[in-house]
Amino acid sequence: MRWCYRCGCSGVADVPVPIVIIGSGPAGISAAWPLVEAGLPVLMLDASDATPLPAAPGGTIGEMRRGPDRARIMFGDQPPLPGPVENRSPKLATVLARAVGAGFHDRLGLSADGFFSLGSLAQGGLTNIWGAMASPWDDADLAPFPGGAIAMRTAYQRVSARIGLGGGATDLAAPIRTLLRRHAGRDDGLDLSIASNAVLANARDGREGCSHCGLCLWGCDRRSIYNAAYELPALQRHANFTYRRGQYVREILPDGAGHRLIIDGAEPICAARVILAAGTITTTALALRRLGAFDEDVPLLSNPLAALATLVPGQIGAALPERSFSLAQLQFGLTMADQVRSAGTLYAADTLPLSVIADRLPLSRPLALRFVRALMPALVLATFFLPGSFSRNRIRLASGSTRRVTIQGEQPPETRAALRKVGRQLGKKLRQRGAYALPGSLTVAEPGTDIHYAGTLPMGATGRFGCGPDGTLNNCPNLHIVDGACLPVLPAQHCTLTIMANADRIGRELAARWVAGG
Amino acid sequence: MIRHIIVTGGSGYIGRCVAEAALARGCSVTILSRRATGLPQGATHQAWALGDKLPEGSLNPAVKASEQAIIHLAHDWGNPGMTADDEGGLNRSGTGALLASSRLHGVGRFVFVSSQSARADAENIYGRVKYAIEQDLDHPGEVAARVGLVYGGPPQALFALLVKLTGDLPLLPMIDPWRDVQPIHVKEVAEGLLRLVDHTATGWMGLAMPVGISFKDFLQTLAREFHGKSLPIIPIPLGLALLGCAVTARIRFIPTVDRERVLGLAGVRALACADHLEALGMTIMPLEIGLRREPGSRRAALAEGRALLAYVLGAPPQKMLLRRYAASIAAANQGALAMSGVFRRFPSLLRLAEPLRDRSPLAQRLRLAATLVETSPQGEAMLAASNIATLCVGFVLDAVVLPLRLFRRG
Repeated sequence: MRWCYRCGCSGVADVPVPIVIIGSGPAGISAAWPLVEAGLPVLMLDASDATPLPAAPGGTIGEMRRGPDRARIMFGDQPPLPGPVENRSPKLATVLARAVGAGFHDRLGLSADGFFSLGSLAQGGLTNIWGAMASPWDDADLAPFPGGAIAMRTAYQRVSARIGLGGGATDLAAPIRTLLRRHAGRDDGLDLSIASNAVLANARDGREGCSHCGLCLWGCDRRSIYNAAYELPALQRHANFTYRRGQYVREILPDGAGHRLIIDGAEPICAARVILAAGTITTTALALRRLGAFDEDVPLLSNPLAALATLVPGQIGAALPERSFSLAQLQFGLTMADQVRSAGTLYAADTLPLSVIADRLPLSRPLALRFVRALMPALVLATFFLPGSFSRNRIRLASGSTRRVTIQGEQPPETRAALRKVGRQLGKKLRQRGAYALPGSLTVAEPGTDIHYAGTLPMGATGRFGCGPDGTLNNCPNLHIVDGACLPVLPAQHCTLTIMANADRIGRELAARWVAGG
Repeated sequence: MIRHIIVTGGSGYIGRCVAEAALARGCSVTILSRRATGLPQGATHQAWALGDKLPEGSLNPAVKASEQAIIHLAHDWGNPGMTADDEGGLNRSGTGALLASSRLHGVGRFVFVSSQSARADAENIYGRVKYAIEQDLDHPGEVAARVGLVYGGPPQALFALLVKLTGDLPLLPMIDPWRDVQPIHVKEVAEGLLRLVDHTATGWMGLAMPVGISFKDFLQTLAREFHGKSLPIIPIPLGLALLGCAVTARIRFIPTVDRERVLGLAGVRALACADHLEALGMTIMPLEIGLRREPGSRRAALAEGRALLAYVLGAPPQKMLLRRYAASIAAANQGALAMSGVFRRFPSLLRLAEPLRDRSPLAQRLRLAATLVETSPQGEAMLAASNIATLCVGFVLDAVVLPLRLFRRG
């Protein structure tokens, strides 16, 4: 198949690219597979440059702890700075996270107020630092999806089989084991189970099974943790799939029945069909621009998030382990008396920097460090979410030459109150299971800290800001939104697997139409 | 465009810096001084003393005389002039001799380095002599540069004295501490003089920070950035200061404070130089920024790090940890905090001073120290070895000092 990448050229093959996918993150890759397997010609563009991300350190957490390279692994070439205590997940403080997020704000012209915003220009997008929580949503939450829960269940199965689940939380930390043991047989509204992670237990597709090295936050050298970029080589083995990096799509203009993509520093590309999978924030900005919706506030869903530190006293003073698993070890759901549903994850703290806890203690530094070191093997950290309906964030695209994108975050008092209420309930129920909440450790995070950005252009919405069952942006035929932006709801759940399943569903629908000659 | 520069006093504080900057921008440089010691590499030397005319070999034969310049910095402190029977002494007559031979050879530019204190009625002899010499620069191509309070570089001259005083003294008696001074980094002086060489201005041009800061602030900033300490200032009358000068001159083993210097500082007046700087296309960096580029600032950060890290570790920190601490402070564009010297000598006493408020600068530094300790092999060994006994001792000590910490401000 030959086609012309250039617009308006007089070449012999002046045919628009049949399908362009913008973004190589989890949504783009998931949408690509069914199309590519059906034989459709697909061109995938992303904004990544050739700069490699920082290499995973290798070894084990124990070796890193004692070794001379620890500071280099943790800080890279940017030394830590004196400053106030930050309420940020340690996952986002790594050299890897900095590199993955580099350039995102500047390139888009994004500024956020009262909202933690993150995006990635890297190959594979934010899956490079994914916490890898991958459990399907409940049927009730899937009801608003086109085809309902049934269509999504099949899509979940396909995606899960493709990316590989089930590794990681197979060898639990001691305090977590205690918690799980004491949970057995309880039925008090706290639903606790081993976390479903997109981590391989055994080798496949050139990736190795998780060795519990405990260095998850700094990059997995075994590639056990799923990363959308790992799938590119397999896609590229298909002759009908083309991938080009360094293509930052600035604008999607209408062009007959198709589109003309304006790309930074490159020739425009004409496409018959565009699949927008650039990540919710960028996708929303591109869609708003296409719609000419300037200076209009669009609701941006996110899961209000809080964290709680608890202690399993029997483990205090134990030696820190040589190996561990620093992503979620348990997942839980909690239904409150008022039917508000919350969900979250439990982590062991044995791989985390002491400062995560020590910085908050009103002790002298020498004591705080030594004390927290003794606590770390006994700590269980919980993060938990509320449904996106509790969020009040807005995204807008400014008119004028700047075309800046702004996000205004808001945490309404009732949301904070609800988070605190869940935190207290959770604390109580964990206490019954032998984990005692540290006084004052309940921390409500800034909106957006969950990085579950979604629902700006929900499927099924009939207004301008919405899309159809196949992700088609309302009034923009052949422009499909397949990432978090098109989610119709955001329950208190991790959303990446659902975004991938939905993208897969849309990809499959488009492929079926193509096969049927549509 | 000037291509060859002759610097008198080229081995002095400013002179050496000027010569280096001129060489760095591709000019050839001849230094005129008595001895050929301490000269920057790449400069040629001609033996010369104040009073001599321009030596034969000092001009560059490969360059037209109009493309050569003299920057005249040499000053004879031993023979100040302006006594009852002379009109500026050797400094003025020597400059005159140099000026005359410069004119004779058709040298393109003559820059005389003067002072902020240059005034007909200056309190100090230095200021009166500088003023008198400025009046002799009446040909085109001749200009005087009135330079503010010069700091930075290897401490020499007045800057060396101030570094030493702010370091040695627990408190500083001062005449009129609110009087403004206009600091300028020695590298900025060099840059300014070289720009003046290629400029056509005549009369005098000011080289100093256009907006002054009080001398008290200057010294306290210096004390903090170079010595990591706060320096209480005690205002004293001028008469008492002059008496102090007389006394220090007679007692050995304490720093001598020169009467001339005291008078020079006491009599200084604001130098309006914003327009001059603009004409030269220069901006003067704030004092703090200038000081933080100095090794003295890094030494202060290292000393602070040594204390804070030792406090957190309970043992002297290894070199690598110290280097990391200083690198973090530098990366944050910060300098050392003002801290009592007691804590540098007895770091464990920091337990009494550690603020409970997490936003105070010291609390931030201590958290940084803790992070660095935690991520170092030395810190890991310390943490792995700590046990229930060390924790108990820690809790008892924390409980004992808690009242003190509660009532401490910031």
